[in-house]
Amino acid sequence: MIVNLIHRPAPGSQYEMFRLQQEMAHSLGLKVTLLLPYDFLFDERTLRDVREDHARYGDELGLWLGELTGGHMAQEVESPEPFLWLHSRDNKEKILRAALGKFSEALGGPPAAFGAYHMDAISMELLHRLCPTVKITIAGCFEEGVKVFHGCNNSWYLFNEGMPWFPWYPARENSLRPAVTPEEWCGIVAVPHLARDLALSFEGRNDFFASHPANVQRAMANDGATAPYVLNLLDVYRFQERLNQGFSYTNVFVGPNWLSGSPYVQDSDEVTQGLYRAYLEYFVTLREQGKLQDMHMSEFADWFRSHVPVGTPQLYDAREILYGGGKRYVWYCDSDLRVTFDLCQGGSIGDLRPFVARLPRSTGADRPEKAIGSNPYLIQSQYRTGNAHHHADGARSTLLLTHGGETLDLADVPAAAARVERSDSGLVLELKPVELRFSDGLEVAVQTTIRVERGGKIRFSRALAACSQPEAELLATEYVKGCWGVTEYPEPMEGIVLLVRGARDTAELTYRYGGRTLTLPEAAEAAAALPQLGTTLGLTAVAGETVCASVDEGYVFNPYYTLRVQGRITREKGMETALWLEKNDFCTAAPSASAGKTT
Amino acid sequence: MYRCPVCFGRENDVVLRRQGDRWYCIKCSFTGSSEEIEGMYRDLKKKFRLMTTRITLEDLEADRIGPAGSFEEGTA
Repeated sequence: MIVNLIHRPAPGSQYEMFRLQQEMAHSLGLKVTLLLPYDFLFDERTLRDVREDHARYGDELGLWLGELTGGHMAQEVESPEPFLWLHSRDNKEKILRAALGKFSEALGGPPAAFGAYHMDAISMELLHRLCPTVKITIAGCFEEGVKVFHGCNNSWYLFNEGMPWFPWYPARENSLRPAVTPEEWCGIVAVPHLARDLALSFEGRNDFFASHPANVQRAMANDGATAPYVLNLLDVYRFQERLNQGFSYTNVFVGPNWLSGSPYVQDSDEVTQGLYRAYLEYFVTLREQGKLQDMHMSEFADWFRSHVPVGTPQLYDAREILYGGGKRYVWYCDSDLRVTFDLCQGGSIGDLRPFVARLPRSTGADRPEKAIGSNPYLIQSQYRTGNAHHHADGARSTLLLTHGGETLDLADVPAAAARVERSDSGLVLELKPVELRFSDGLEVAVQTTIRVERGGKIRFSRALAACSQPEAELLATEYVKGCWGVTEYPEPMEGIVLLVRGARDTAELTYRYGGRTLTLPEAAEAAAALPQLGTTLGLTAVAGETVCASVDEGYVFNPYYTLRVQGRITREKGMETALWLEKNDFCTAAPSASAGKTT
Repeated sequence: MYRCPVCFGRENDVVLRRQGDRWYCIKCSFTGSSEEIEGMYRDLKKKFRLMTTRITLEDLEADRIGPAGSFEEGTA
């Protein structure tokens, strides 16, 4: 594992906390990257201290534009907007020119490390052009968005959902999407802000469950000074090395405000500061065991570029380690898609973000997206219902098995993983057989293997590992219910083309909330072409006996589309279906704030 | 300072305001004493059954996290 330990100064009495953090890191011999906010480049005490830290301990000095605190920058751009990525392009350039110029003036040269909670594509492009020495930046907060917006009393406008969780090479047009090729890369290595819990940040707030001891206190997931969760989460990250060619990464970036007097921490300052130190001590323990390397941020950028090629998929096996409910999510991210499998719901897709259309996306006052930097989803089962428990089901995938007029849903049964592996083409997730019992007494065990392959493909192989009536034949329906969106609310669906395709015939309809269904016997393919995202989501039977394909148009109280491919499976004969994503030529929609289709 | 235990149960951080020896929330209708709030915090923490359990890399590699809260250190 590689760790970047990052500190930043804070004003007033919090400055003492910054110095305390520095003292802890230095006494433990940990490498520190100091990211300096703009206003502190005017502060002689700070400059004196950080120059000394740099000279004495080798601390790396970089620039932090997470907040444009104080009045200096507000005067420069005549705007109270607190965050770089929310300004207009012109202001972004003014801010970066001013901050980079002041940094060089104050510290004798330009930075190599940079940070902001989010760096949109325009900010990235400007940063790379104005300061080519910057090798690395903090560029996004994994799965920060709707839940944190709610959690901060609907007042925190940072939307970064649908991004990678490990360091990545941002694409030029969309910094929260991994680049396909070195040519498409924006030129700066990106790291996420903190390492988030990929189980609990999917279900809840990412700022409760992260590589940040005080965030864990904010979640009240500690018992005073007894707080193993933050160490457990670090070990879950180390657990990913087996899936990522030996690589795992974390960073720690705790603002000094968290170490004393935070209204969101109900423990004493002594407990809070002790937990911070204990966290750093764990890094030292791991380092002594040869299991962890501490690096400066720019040192890590060099390491990343020489060890992880552009386009390398990221995998993550998320084990839930706090509630103790046994939940497990398996994540995959490459340049074409990001997908999350929810094992608690039979291995269904809980989240699917298509990247194949390579749509540009940036935030800012002059952008239609405004604050919504999140990559749009096709499936988001937390926001968009997932398995049914109120009116109807929502965005999800599943396998439906029908026998004797009765249909059972694999998503109703928690599944266990038999195998989670990296393959040459992507990910292999093999589930242990799931047992289902029909009311007439028929018992089957369904074996599922999911393969995610480069190019936006997910293959589902289904077989009957056991069947109480060996001659039984079941109708198997591979089922995908999708939508699109960036928040929890539905987006307009007009214009989506739903189609079913067979060897001889094709039928299609254009979405108008009519609740219509198209079924084509012997057809092997169903698809939804979304002009809003320039993306087609399809489902194709690739092996087995196909019966039909169908699509459902939704209606306003059920704003989804459903794709189905049906086949027959027996003990001897399984079924394989490919879910695929392709860029389409339907990109005719008007500019959309949510979709980000503006150029 | 306290956060509203009712709003916190919905993962919303709302800092309570004080009126005499009582605290009240501006987001919801909760009011309570310090003792009541701290008791509600203790209840909220009960959902984290592994809050005081150390789970190491070795536990993860040995798959020692069972379903339905069955995790016990050193057992499969």
